[in-house]
Amino acid sequence: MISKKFLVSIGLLTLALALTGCAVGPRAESAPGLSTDGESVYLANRTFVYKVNQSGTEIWHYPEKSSPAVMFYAAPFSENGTVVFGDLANKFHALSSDTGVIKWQYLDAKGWFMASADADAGLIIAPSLDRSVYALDEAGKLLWKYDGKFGFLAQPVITEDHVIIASQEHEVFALNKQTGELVWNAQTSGSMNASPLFDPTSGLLFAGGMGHEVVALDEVTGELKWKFDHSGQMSAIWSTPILVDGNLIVTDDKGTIYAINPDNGNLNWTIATNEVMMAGPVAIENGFVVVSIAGNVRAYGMNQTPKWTLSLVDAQVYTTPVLAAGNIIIANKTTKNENLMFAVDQNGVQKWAFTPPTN
Amino acid sequence: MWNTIIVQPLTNLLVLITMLVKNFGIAIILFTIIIKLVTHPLTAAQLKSTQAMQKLQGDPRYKKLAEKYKDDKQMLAQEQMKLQKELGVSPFGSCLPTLIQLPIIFGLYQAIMKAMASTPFELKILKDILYPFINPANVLPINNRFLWMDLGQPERLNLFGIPIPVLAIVVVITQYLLSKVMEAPSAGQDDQAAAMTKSMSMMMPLMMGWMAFQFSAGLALYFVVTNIVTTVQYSIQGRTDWSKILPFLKKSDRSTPSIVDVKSTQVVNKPGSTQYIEVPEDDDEEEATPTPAKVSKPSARSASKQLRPKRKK
Repeated sequence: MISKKFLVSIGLLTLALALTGCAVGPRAESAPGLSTDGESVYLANRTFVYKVNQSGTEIWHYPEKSSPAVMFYAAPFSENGTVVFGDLANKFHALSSDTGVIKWQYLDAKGWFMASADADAGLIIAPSLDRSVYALDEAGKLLWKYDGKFGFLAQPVITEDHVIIASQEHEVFALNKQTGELVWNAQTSGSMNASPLFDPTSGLLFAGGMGHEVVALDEVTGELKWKFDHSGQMSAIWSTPILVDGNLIVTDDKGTIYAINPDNGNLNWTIATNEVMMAGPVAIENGFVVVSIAGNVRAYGMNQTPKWTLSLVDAQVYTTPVLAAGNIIIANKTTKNENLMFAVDQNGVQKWAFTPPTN
Repeated sequence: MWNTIIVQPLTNLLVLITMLVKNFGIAIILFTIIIKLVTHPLTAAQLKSTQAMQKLQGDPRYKKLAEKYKDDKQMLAQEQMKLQKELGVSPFGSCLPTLIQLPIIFGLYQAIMKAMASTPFELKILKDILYPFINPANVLPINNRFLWMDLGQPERLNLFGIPIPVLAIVVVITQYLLSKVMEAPSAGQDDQAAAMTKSMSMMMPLMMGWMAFQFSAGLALYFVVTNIVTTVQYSIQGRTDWSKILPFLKKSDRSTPSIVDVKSTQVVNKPGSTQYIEVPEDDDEEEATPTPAKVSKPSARSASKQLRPKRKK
């Protein structure tokens, strides 16, 4: 007969396992990471990274078998046949973008990778939540490392001479691309969780954050060119602004769309959608699209007129959409393994929804 | 509803403390101590009730009932309930304070989880539940660094290239100590119950250690502080049996046969109910006629002794 002692022990062990994770793995919740190489789409969602073609069919997924200890939320970055991304098991991966076969891994980080990487001419910049920015070469060898005071959430921007980082430490800073030394830093009013936008024509960086303002900085010196907060009425900004037809388009989390003159920071116009937004705008032909957390997609022309609206059923959207092969790709935050992405054409017609084949 | 009443206030309190002390680790420690102090009356009531139950289980009449009705569970339950009623012991006396505390414990856990937001999604959730008088721009993100730890991630201390889960080990140790000092006295319990208690004392620390190993360091820190504060709470109430972990504290010193002053020895009794006095373990029932002498305070020390009714004249 089984003793009570044995049963109690088994019961406690089961409870521990159940509480910890059904539970073996990182205890973090996030929205999917989404990116494109212009044609195909990459999606990092929970235990897999997917590459999907323009008709919504999976090309490959990585890893072959999922593990609850390894989660992916950082949007993959694809360049020159290699796609790079980090995970929440402190590993940074480089795969062949054609086959999804692993090329190398960087294993010396001490924290999760939530931010998307950036790469340019063989230099890969990978910011981590361990408060370090890692610069790797094409073979995954560490070139330099920059240590900050907070973990990094925003994708870096590589310019001609600098690596630009928007930081949770209430600042934007520039590192020397070759050495990783700090070149300049510019204080902001709040934490910066989204990547800045770099306009090579004007040489300005545009960034918004939890300080309820948008700043324009000189990329070379970090000098503040202008600041816009709509007289204190702006709310927090969680996404990267876009430039469309001479307007800097910014959305805040109260669902207000601002069109700002990028030269001087003057307000051109606003649209109040009155919907909560975390995802940023995406440019389309003659206008732009915004998506609310509730999954309502709205397209506007540059004369502020609504072009069309579409409600995605059972969708929660926290990730900025991308434009791939002419379609607007929208990632869905869902715990179900279905409808992870929707493709909508530029007339507001849903083309496909991506449900991975059984993994 | 749950979030508004429990999680949101606790999260805001934790964030406020963090703003004041400017260190999230210290904030978690203070926050846990404050909540434990606030819920101390409930803990104390629970401890009293638990001890009363333990003493009851040591009562010879209770054992006799078990023996007498070993083949009739229903009758046994009825008789045990009668005895409990007579002695003024409620079997649910320790449940109610625990039940009231449970939402606070779960809320505390969730508040710490929410405050450790480390993704944009979690930061947005945290920002949205902060009260208007807290400016998220000033306080977020919370700096998770404490000593060598990043409180938002599972803790490992690299010693000679080997990642050691120091906090998880401390959780196991403090939980083990807590289990030992809280362990119910075995006297009066049958062998199986004693074995189960021992098993729990071993398994609980391992379970908590496993959780601390998996969870963020902030939660492991919370486990450690909770264990220490609870041990202190037990000590303050005289409920700890240190001899279980410090053998040089001789148990015999504390198990001196007792000696009772009925007026002050009202451990488990309700006013007006039968009064019970403490007698030496090996005394026979007939020899139990009380001999008033010194005051015997109810404590864990006396928990191992048996209780018998004072015979009213």
